[in-house]
Amino acid sequence: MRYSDHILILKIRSGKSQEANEALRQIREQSFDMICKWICRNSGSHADAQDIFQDVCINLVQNIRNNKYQHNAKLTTYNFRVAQNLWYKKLRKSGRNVPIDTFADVFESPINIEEDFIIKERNEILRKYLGRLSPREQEILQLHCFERKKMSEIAIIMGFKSQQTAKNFKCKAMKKLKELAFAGGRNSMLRAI
Amino acid sequence: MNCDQQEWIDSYLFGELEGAERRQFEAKYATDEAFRAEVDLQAEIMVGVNSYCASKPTVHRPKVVSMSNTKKIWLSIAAAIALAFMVQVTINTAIPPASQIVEQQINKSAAKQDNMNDFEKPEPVRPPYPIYSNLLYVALSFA
Repeated sequence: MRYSDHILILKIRSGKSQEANEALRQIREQSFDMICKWICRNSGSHADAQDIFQDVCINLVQNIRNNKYQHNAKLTTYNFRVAQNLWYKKLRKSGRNVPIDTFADVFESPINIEEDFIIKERNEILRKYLGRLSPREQEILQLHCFERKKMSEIAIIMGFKSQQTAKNFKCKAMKKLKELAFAGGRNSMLRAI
Repeated sequence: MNCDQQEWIDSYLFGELEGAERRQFEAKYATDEAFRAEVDLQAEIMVGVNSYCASKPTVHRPKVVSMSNTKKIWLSIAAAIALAFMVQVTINTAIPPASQIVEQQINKSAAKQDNMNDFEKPEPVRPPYPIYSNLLYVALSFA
């Protein structure tokens, strides 16, 4: 079963090793071949590709868990870019020449610019509509999604009568955000821009 | 989608589902197209909220600590005692002792008697303590 990029990110962020391993397995299936092919074409070997891919995974996990990761492109694109930078760095350290992007590199790039653009746009829209929610709605989403507080804690922090009231309020905020940002399709996108 | 289903999706995305429940969720995710779309959208929103909150400057909520009534009473008593002490000290430093005032008045009358022939302007009568102590009394009476 293949999960979307967002689910993979959340699985890594959950901090549970089983979830993270499952996500990393899928990421390896998606990205490793592409990275290995590129490294082998740029004076590297399969072993080099494996080393670099390991560093890419560490970088990805650390960035996601430290809230430094911004999802502005597909995970494969992100991993490919990180791998490129790490490989160039390694070449420079070892005193070898850093190859200049050739015609083939540009046109046979595994990166899908169009898909990345859509992801970036959707992310921008979501951020804009998040900013337009009421402060309490923003707060409950922050406490639930970002700070991972339990509903009982959220009810105390935000002064709700019960856990159920907090749950309902969060549910409404989430629904509102979905409707605002994505239900209107292109219209909502234009309104946001 | 109802709230319970949303909660179920949230639990899966937070990695809280285990065992049979997790398998049930994954089976539904693999077979039900609409459910899959819903889960993906929910995950997208969660990732969006995370990146939005991470880029936002963090605001530390001030802790609201309510004071108990007993504490309030003790605190007000302590404040009243401190104020009374301060007033006492101010008055003591502002007003000279009675014996000193009497001595000053005797000296003045003696000096007047000595200079009976001199045409001197009589000195204005001043209160024995400065004006701000009067103001302090007024303020205290208001308090």
